Order: sequence, then structure tokens, then C-alpha cells
Amino acid sequence: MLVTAVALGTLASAAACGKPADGPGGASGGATPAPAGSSGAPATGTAPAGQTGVTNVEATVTKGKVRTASGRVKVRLGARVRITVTSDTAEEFHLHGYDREMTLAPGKAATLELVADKPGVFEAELHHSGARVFELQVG
Amino acid sequence: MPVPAQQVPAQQVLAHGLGGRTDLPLDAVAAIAGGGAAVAATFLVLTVAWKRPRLRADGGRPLPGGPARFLDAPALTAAGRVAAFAATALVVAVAFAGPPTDRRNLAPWALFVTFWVGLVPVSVLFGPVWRRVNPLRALHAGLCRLTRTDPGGRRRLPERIGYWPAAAWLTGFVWLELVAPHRSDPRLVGALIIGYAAVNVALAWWFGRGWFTRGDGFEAYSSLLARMCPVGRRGDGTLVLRTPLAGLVRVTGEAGLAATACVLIGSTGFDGITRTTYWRDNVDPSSIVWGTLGLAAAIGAVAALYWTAMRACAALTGGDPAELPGRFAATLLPIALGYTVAHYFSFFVLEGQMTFILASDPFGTGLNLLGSTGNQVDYGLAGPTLTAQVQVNAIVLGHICGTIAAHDLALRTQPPERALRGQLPVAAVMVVLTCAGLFALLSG
Repeated sequence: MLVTAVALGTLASAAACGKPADGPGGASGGATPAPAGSSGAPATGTAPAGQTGVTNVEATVTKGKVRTASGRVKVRLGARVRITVTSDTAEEFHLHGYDREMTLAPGKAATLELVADKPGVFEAELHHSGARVFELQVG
Repeated sequence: MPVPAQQVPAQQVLAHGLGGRTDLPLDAVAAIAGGGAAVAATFLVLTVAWKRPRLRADGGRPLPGGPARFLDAPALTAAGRVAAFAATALVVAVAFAGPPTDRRNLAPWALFVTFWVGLVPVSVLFGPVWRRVNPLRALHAGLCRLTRTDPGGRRRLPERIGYWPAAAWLTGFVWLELVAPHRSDPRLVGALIIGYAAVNVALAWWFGRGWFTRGDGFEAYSSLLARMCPVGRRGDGTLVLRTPLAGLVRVTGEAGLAATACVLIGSTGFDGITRTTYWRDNVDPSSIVWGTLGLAAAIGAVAALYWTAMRACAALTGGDPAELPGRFAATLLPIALGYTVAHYFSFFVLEGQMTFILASDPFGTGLNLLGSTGNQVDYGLAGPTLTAQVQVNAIVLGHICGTIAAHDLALRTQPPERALRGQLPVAAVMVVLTCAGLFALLSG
């Protein structure tokens, strides 16, 4: 029993420490605050047509109310996802699990892209108001 | 809210209070139909093949001398107490002096994942562990020595209080975990741990250390789960290896135990419901009012189902309707355990890594004590397939075990010719709960 307990404990502690964060070129951000994913370029909010394999998610925030095509966006594991958010106030966008953030300037669309490589349902929210923007369902 | 984002974590609407990731929905229809059918079939098999009581509360085979001496060793107790006290003190210190957000402070992860969820497997596998190492008991002993008070207390706690304080504390905790705003704020977590400790130590100072047994929500939770541990203690104190369900078939009811089980089952179900797109699309997820009402309704619904089944059972067997709910309460515990495993398995394995990642640099000073500073959660440890299998099996097995224990207890306490009839409402509720549980926990 002691042996079992020790083995379990060792296993648990070995498994419990996570894995090293991806390098700067990795597809997903690390556990430490990732470099802001906001692209400096003034995005138009509509993605150029013709790009295959990219799921576009667009959200607009007006007076604290979030408008999206769907509350839950479903994509396949490994899909490329482009998220575009426009807010009428300064905000901080955060996608949980993938830990991607972008700073939203009032009235300006901001975009980030990611590869959906972790299965599950992940929340995207605004940090200041706490509003839920959408949920990303991967898998 | 004109607060700098860096200082106050935003009001987050996260499952289980933390994390922001939840499991993929399953093919709910297949799982619900299969689960309900499995529980119904179990009942039918029991009526044919299990005609006399087989579970003996005082049964079991005594453990050999070596393991028994090891488990009973005072040194093991002392080591456990020191470890538990040190870990709690560290969590509280980090809660106040560590980084201000839950993304970098381990305290919310330690409380909501490592402790709250981890208590379950530890108690089921190793017995009433928290009772043995509870740091509040150590604080209480110290306070009694300081104030020259008898640790046995000044006033007797009335017997009819039973598990009601534990039910109340657990309701408060699940409300905090599932509804309260800013629940993942490390400072709030620290303040709540200290407040909880102060109130319970004060009550134990007044009512005696026996308060912790049923009054400290976490110790009561741990000890109740430990009734399903394969290692138990016989009436004479001997450690025995026993059938895990044998600890559930006591004939005398205990006040508040049914309520405690209903809180555990209802709250897990509620957390599942809030994850469905149906709830998400129709209710403001940050609304405290709706959250509170939903939680109360979920616990109330489980309680109403249980009490209705017990009344029907009493009517069919001629038993005392006031006595039955208490007597069968312990048979709800496997169901609560099944829900908990189903609901928290991936959360414990995945988000539980955060406690250890953050413990590598607890105060945010750039340390790398465990070599895991800056690591990220390894989602590969519990993939969607494994998680789904654990979920469905846990819920169905939980209900099957509950059905077996209830059946055995009925055979023991009711006239044999009526026991079978009396089991019909219980079996019906088990099937309904299985389907509802699978629906709430698994549907998207």
C-alpha cells in the first residue's frame, strides 16, 4: 500500500506540472501572458473571400451587448480560426485555454488567428465588462 | 466599472469557478438511453438474484498486521498533519501576498481544484483522510490550550443537528464556486479560507472538537465519501478490507445526511446545466439572481424527487414516512460520487496542473522551484475520448451502486414480501436521475 501510494504520488506530481510552454513561434500562447495577438493593421472586419480552411468568427460589442452569428462556434480539431472583434469601448479580449488576448481600441476591429489544436469548449470573454463573447468548440 | 484591469480580475463566468475550458458535449441521446436502460436492468437483476441482504456494515476481512500498523502509525498522522497545515498556510500566504490574478496565483486553483476535487479520490481510496489531518483541528487544539478550555467543549451539540451544518457549508461553497462574482480573486479566496477557519474553530471551541465531524463541511464531505472506501474500520476499531458499498448500509438514519447528498448531486447537475447552450442562450450567465435561483432549483428538484420516492416507498411497504429518507440517505452517496467524477475528472487532471505550475513561483518573484514556471496545461493528459468514457461510466455506475445499496438496505429493514414493491419508486427515481444527470452533464 505504501508502495502504491508513493507511486501514485510520484505519478501525480510528475504529470501535474504541465508541459513547457511553446516557443515564441508556437501556435498557441504560453501560460505567461502571451504577446498580444492584436494585429496592428486596421482590419476591415470582413475576411477576404477565397481563403479555404479558415473559420471566421466576427463579433461586435455595442454598449456592452455582444453580437455574434452564433453563441457557440464549432470547428474541427486542427482548423484555422480567425477571430475579429470590434468594440465601441476600450476592452481586453481573452480566449481561455488558448490564452490568447488582444487589446481592443474603441471602434477598431482587431484580429487574431490560431490553430484549434486543443479539444474542448473554450470561453472567449471581455476582461473589463466580463461579457462572454462566444464559445469555441473544438473537436 | 472604472477599475484597472490589472488589479481586479474581471467577473468571470467559468465552469467550476475557474479555467474557462469545458468538456465536449457527447452524443446525448445514445448515452441517456443506454444509461437509463442499464440502471433499469440492474434493478430487474437484483430482484431475481439478490433476495437476501448481502452487505454487512460490520463485515470485512481484517488487514494483515504490517499494513494495519502502518496505517495506524502515529508518525503517519503527525506527518500528514504537518503537511496539511503547511500546505494550507502556504496557500493562504500566497493568496494574500502572491500575484493578484488567478492566472498567476495558485490559491484559487489550490482551493477549487486540488483541494475540493482532490478530496474526493483521496477519501474514496484512502478513507477519512481529512478528519485525520484537518488543520482546523490543530488550530482548535492550540486555542484550547491557550484559553485553558476543555477540547470537549462547553456545550453539547444536540444530536438532531447532525449533518445540517455540513449541508449548509457545502451549499455555501458550491454557491461560491458556481455563482458568486469574483470567486477566483486570490484575495477573496484567502479571506474566505480564514473566515471559514475562524467560524469553525470558534464553534468547535464552544461545542467541542466533535463539531468538526459533522459541522466542518469539508471534513464531513471527506468522511461521507470514505464510507465507500474499500478499507474501513469495524465497530471494534479493527481496520478491515470490505465491500465498498458495505459502509452505506447502516440502519439508523442521520439527520441532515439526505440534505447533504442532495446538495452535492443538485449542485453538480446545476453546473452541468449552465454549460448547455440552452442555458447560455437564455440566461445572462453573470446574473447572480438567476444563478442562485438555478442552483436552488436544482438542489430542490433532487430533494423533491428523493422525498417523493421515499413517501411512495413508505406507502407501499407500510414503513414510517418520516424515517425512511434518513435511513436511505447514504445510498445517495454513490450517485453523488458518480456525478462528481463525471463532472470534475478532466477539470482535475487538466486545470489541476495549474496549482503545480504556479507553485513553482508562488509569489511571482521569478523563482523556478519545481522547474515548471511558465509551463502550460498539457491538454493531452485527458483527451475527449477518455473523458467521455469516464463521464458516462461514472454516472451509470454511480446509480447502479446506489440501486444495489438501496435494495440491500430495503431487504434488511422491510418485510420481505413488501420490500420489492417498496423498491419500485426508488428504482424509478434512479432511472430518472440517471437520464437527467446524463442530460445535464453531457449535452451541449
